[in-house]
Amino acid sequence: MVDALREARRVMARRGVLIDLRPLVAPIVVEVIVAAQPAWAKEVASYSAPEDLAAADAAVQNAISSDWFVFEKSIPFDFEIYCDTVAELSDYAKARKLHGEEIPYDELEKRQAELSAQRQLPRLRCRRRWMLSTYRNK
Amino acid sequence: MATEVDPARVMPYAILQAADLRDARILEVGAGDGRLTFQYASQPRSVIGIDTTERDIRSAVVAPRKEARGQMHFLCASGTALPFSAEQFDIVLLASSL
Repeated sequence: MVDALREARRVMARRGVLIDLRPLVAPIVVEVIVAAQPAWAKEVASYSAPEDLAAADAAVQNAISSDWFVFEKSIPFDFEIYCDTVAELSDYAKARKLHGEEIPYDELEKRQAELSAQRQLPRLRCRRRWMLSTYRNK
Repeated sequence: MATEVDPARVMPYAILQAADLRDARILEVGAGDGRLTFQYASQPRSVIGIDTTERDIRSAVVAPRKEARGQMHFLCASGTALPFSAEQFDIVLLASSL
């Protein structure tokens, strides 16, 4: 990670900007939604590689204390994924290597089936907290 | 409808808020199949997207580029050994790649 920051700095023009974009180690929110409104929601402590994110934080702090970059700003945002089925959500979680607390697939499927029986059109939404941070090359 | 990823385009919006991309030379590390790259590509002078996954880079290379204003290239490379000379980019975007 330090190597990646060193390389980024090497190819960056003087006063160039480094943008670091990655998910936070924070619970994800899984929801059953109807017309974009949540009908059921649960926070799940499932993360992708929290140890990598901690190492990334340490590498960035090292780069700042080495005077490579100056921190400018951070912009937090929610990254959303919409799925029609539990199988699609499971595929997404596998692709993103989400692990930790299990996403309650059975519960999601049950809630979705109940709403479908009421002739509604429920979908699934997964929200993850991300952070975009910018740093100026010194 | 199947799976929709960031349909509100929150991620490219955050990038556009964070830095002035107009006429910039951008390197995106971890560009994958270019899904994010294509969403901010209307402003920069040039974008080079790199990723270590060859299959994703092949997808990015053949994807339609309606929104690109300047030059856009994708290649298979690692962020820890960049195949570029010094001071070539105005912005380096590390896309979930630290």
